Amino acid sequence: MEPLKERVKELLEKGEIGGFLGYRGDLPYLFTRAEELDGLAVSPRRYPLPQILAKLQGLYPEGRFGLLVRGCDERSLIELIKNNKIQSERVVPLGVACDQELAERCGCERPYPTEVLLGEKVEGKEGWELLERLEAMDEEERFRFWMSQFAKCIKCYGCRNICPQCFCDTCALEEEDLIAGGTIPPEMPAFHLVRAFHMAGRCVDCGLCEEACPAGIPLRTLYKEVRRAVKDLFGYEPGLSVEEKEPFGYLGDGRYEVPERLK
Amino acid sequence: MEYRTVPSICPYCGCGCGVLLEVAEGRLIGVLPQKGHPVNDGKLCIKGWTCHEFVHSERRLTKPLIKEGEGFREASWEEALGLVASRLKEIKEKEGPSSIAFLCSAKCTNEENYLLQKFSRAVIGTNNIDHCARL
Amino acid sequence: MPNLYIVRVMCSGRVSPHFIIKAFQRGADGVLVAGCEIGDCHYGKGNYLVKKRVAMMKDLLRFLGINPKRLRVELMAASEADRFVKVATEFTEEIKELGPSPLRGAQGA
Repeated sequence: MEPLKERVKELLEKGEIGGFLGYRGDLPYLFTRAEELDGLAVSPRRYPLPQILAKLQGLYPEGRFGLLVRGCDERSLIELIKNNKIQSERVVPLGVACDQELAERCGCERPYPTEVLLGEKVEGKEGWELLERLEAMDEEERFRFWMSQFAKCIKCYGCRNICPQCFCDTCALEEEDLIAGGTIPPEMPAFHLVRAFHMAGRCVDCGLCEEACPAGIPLRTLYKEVRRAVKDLFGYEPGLSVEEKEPFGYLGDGRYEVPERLK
Repeated sequence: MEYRTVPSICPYCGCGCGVLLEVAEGRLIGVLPQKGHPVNDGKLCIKGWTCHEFVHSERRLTKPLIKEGEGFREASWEEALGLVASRLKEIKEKEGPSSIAFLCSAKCTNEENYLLQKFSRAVIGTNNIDHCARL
Repeated sequence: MPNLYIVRVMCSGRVSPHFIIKAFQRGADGVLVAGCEIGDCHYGKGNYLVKKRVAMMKDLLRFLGINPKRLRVELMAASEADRFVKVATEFTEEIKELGPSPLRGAQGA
């Protein structure tokens, strides 16, 4: 913890940041005074810190913040900067590498940010098992699988609420013309299909959605396919660079063709 | 600058899911599910996810209102409770205790609900008591 | 009963993925997105995104177990009536072969 505490203390004392968003014990907390830093911890219980930071930047339009970033947080941060939800000049990310245990539990491919201040980089292993099993199924079986999964949905909006990439002021999922109100499960597959499409070019595979789902729907696998397809169709991976534009974020030259295998 | 999260329990149903109330500048700005909580382990239903919304709501009643004609007027607690007591007494005397029913709430504590049933049975003398969680 | 129900929009760029999803949810057996050729857009570049969106949507449909052939995008000029007729007929035939959508009789259909 020391290198992180030292750095935060320095930033706070020099006045470069007004607060550092990290964890006190297991809970998200904004440290504003150096004396508080004894309580600074890197909790294995992950919360969407970049999403909270976006909220704080809105609340304190002049404030500059330090932010604890894991690999997943950094990818989220990059996307939020790209989508103008976080001003990059008002955030100082401090990187923490996840340990082997957490990396494995999360099934994370890149459990470390680009610059690591604390912890050792370990190699993660991404969990593709369910996706591969689904790909091996025939169409009908896959349809039945997803419909039985979506039938469990209680429309809590937890997947959207916890998602660091869900930042719209008005949400299509609450649009009654699109998703009829007052029914549980919500229209299948429309509800999940709308959300999945919105994840295209955005999802950074942090896995918070699946962790938050009370019904145990394998949402991460659904969005993993979205990520895989976006990479395959457009050569784009979200969360890697602030400069690179997402495929639906620019018009291009109009020469894009639907690949033969999907026709 | 201030931002902290306060562990609490969802005020809605009897499940008792753990929530984290997000506080900034002394105001509640949001809610997060509490990870590792023995009841819900980081998951919430739609009520839990929105359980902070009523706190600072402009539509929230902050004073007792007494109905007069077509509308309501603000009143003191003393006046409002006095009116309730006298009217309940009047109705009980005129129509009998079984003309009165009580509805209690899953959002109250066990002790508060106990008190209400005691009040209904011992003071008013009716078994007409039910609660919102059975709706 | 006609087997093609036409929903007119100002531009194929207006066809949000939501429209496609809603059509399938309502029980459509297939969705044909027809627009102007690239370069012919009245609005300049309104149709530049449509093929990207459709490609993405087709992969999602495939992954959820709905035949991606049920969704097609064709760009053609407004004056090419015979081509539209040909495409619509071909598409209808293809959908007929695939049979009814598995979402027929689903919620909202």
